[in-house]
Parts: sequence; structure tokens; C-alpha cells
Amino acid sequence: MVAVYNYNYVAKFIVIGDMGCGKSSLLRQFTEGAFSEKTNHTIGVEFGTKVVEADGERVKIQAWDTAGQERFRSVTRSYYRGSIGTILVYDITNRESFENLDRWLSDARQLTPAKSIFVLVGNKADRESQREVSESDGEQYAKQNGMLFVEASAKTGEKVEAIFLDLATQIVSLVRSGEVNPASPDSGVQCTKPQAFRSSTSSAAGAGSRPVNVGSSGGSARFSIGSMSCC
Amino acid sequence: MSDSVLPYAADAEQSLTPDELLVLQRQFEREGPRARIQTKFNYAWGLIKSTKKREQQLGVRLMHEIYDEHAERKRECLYYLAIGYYKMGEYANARVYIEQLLALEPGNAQARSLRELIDQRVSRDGLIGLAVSGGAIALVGIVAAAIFKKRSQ
Repeated sequence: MVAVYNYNYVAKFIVIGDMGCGKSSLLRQFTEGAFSEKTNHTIGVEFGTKVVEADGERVKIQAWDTAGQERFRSVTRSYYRGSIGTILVYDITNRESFENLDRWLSDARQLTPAKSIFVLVGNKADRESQREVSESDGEQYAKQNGMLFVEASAKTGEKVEAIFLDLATQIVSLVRSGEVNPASPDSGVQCTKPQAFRSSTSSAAGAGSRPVNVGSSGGSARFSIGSMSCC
Repeated sequence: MSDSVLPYAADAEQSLTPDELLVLQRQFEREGPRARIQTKFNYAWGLIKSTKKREQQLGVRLMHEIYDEHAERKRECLYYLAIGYYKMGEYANARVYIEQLLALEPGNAQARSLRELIDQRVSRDGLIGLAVSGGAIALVGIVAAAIFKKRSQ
């Protein structure tokens, strides 16, 4: 029996950054379209999901929202493994949260899969008068470290969807180009398309699954990664 | 049905790999009886996330010790104690701790979500209990009817 999903991929993201920079609020704005001025610091780790459409594919984003407090550092480190997308957040009204990016980034680079995509988010963009980090500083830091960059506001919702959509789009293209193989358990992406649509290449790589022949003539009718968008 | 509306307590669902737990255990043991609070907390947290009841029990015990000794860690101790008892099936205890956290932070979404999970489990198990006892009553009825019928013959 084939399970029917309303999405083609599941992608695992992690949201990291200093305490109080608005990680949970960004995720809540993204998943529920809601914002609350008064929130509690996250304990350990939380979780949110939403399906987005990226480049013609429906991608279910599973985002792990981690606590920014130092005391949860080793606790949250166990969630980096297998994250294909990393959302690194700082608060544009708090210089220190920007200065601390190196620390977060080095943890994430060390623990996430090699192909993991990073987006740098300067949150609280609605508070222009309290700004302590210029947009160009953020942009430059992102560029130096090979990250996408967005200034967003969890409060107004400005650019929030874009953060997740940009990541999902990049991940779809990584899968299409074959750089990330969803059949590998730690890739951070799973494919939910029915078995018959899977390419012979990745089916052979997945333990226990058989290459699928479509049509009568052996290899010629098999799907290849280049021509199919899925694993 | 969207699962973003379902309550979710990420830390209640995921376990560490045995290797990861071993790292936390070794660190805790190496530091001995005067282990740093952070080391002890990490180990207690890893144990509570385990799927093995014995590890969950040890985790809850350590978390209780941290709770008693370190007031500044109260909120996370309450949260993880509730998770620990929830996973061990001790829902009344789980409720006690999550209610304490909610008394401190009524708006805490994580805590509310966990309370909902506990409540769901309680009502599910309650229904199963009702079905079981309902079945037992029916059985008693059938047996009694059979005996009565036999006697009246």
C-alpha cells in the first residue's frame, strides 16, 4: 500500500541564535501567522511544521526551534545532526547577538551535513529606530560565510515566509542536481513520492529497495536523477 | 489535517543515540559526586529522553535532585519532570509538574502543549479502561445469565 502525502519532500531545518533574538517568534509567524509580544524563553527544543511550494515541489518543512540560552547549548547540539537547512538568527537591535554569530556558525558547520544550506536572518527589522547592526554588516557577514541573507520581522511578518521559501528552493535544486541524496538517512531530506517514481540510481543505494523498471526495455525506461525531480 | 495544530513536545518524542547518551553518562561519572550542575542536567535530560524505563526513572531522580538544589533551574526541571513522568505513564505526577510550570508561566506554549498531550493520553487510557471494564461487566452478565438459565432448567 502506498501512503498518499500532499507533499513530495520532507526537509529538516534547525533555527539557532542567541537568546531573545526571536527564533520561536519567527517560527510561529511562519507556521501560524501569529505573533505575541510576550513569550517565554524556549526550554530545550521545540518543533514546527508547514508545507510550502518551492519551484513546483511541495516541501514539508520540519523546523527544530532551539533554546538560545547557554545552559541548553549541549542539549540543542543533538538536533543539528541531519539538518539540511540552518536558520541563523540575530537581533538587529542587539549588537551582541550579531557578535556571537561566529560561535553558532562554527557549531552548526561542524554538526550539520556538509551540503546544509544556511540563511542568516536579521530579525526585528520593524524596530528601525533601535537598530544596532546595519543591513550592510549583516549582508557582508552572510556573504563572507556563504549564507543567504534576509532582514525580517516576526512581528509584522515581513520576509518571514521568504526565509523558509528561499531555503526550500535551494534544497530542491540540490536534490535535482543530485548533490543531496534523499535516500541517505542523514541527508536531512526525505522523498515521499511513490516508489515507482524513484530513480534507479537512488533505489539501488537505499537498503532493501529494488531498482524500478518502467516499460519493457531494461535501462532505457528508467528514470534518472537528471530528468526527474525526485530521489 | 495539519499536524502543526497538534500539540507537540519535541523532547518527549526524540531519543538520543546510545553513543550520545554514553558521552553524557561518562562526563557525569568522570566528574563524580561533585559533578557540575550543567553536566548533571545534560545527563538527566538524556536519560529522560530514553525509551528505556530504567533510564527514564534515573533521569527523573536526577532531575528531582537538580530541582531541589538549584532554584534558578526550576522551569526546565518542572518541564522535564513532567515529560519524564508522562513517558513513564505516570500521568498524575506529570500533571502536577506541568501545572506548577503553568502557574509560573501561564502563557508558555510549550507547557500548554505538553499538558494537552498528557490530557489526551489520560482520556485515551480512560476510554480503554472503560471499554475493558465495560467488557468485564458484559462478561459477568453473560455468565450470570448462563448460570441462571441452567438453574431454572
